[in-house]
Amino acid sequence: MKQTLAFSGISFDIDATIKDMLAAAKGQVATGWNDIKKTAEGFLQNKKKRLNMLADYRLSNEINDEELLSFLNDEKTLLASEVAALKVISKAVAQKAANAALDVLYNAIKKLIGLI
Amino acid sequence: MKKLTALLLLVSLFSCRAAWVPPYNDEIVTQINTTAKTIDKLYFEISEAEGPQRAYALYKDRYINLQVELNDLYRKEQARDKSDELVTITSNIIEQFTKYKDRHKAEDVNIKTAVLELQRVYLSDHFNTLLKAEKSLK
Repeated sequence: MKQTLAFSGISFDIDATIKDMLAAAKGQVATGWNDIKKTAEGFLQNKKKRLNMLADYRLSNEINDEELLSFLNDEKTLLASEVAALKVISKAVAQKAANAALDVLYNAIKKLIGLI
Repeated sequence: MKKLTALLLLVSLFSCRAAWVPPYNDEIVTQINTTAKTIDKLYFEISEAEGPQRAYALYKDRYINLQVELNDLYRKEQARDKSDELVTITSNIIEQFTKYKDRHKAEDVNIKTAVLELQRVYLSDHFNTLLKAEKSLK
């Protein structure tokens, strides 16, 4: 059953507005998900590059075991930062999606006020 | 009356906007880029130097200036609302930078080229992580 709101003779289509809100949010999440995926892939590529460097340097004796272990420990710190960065990016995506949906509602009500 | 109700609803909706991350700050992004470049330059120059020219004392002032810059960045991140993760990343960068600086101080002219290169790469990738997070706020 179509949900509408009668307001001074004007009909406010709640269903259509909610559908538009969801579409706006979905659009933001789709773009945002690509960004998160690309960022995570970038982090993994960099990690692979660093680990290859460590292996090469150790094999050629340009670094010793102690130095290797020290840098492997640094990998843990960097991983913690990468996880923190992905958290920020995810929150930013969620924020954009929520506000995109709110903007649709805001504009729908603005339009309604203009018609009253 | 109905128009007033709708207007009030509009105002309350607008004030309900989601705010889970701090707003984008161009000045901070610029500072991150500049600091990362300065650290890169420092490590490239030490790597190019040989023997006595690698002495920590020759680079002490540059390390100090970078420490000041990093602390400034940390304070700026701390001052922002909803910036816990950004503070964590900046704190981790400072921890790494200080560890590497102390290593240079301890090993002095004997610091290895491979170690310098690894330090440069680890710090660069750490800055990249912070930059990715900051740019997502745009």
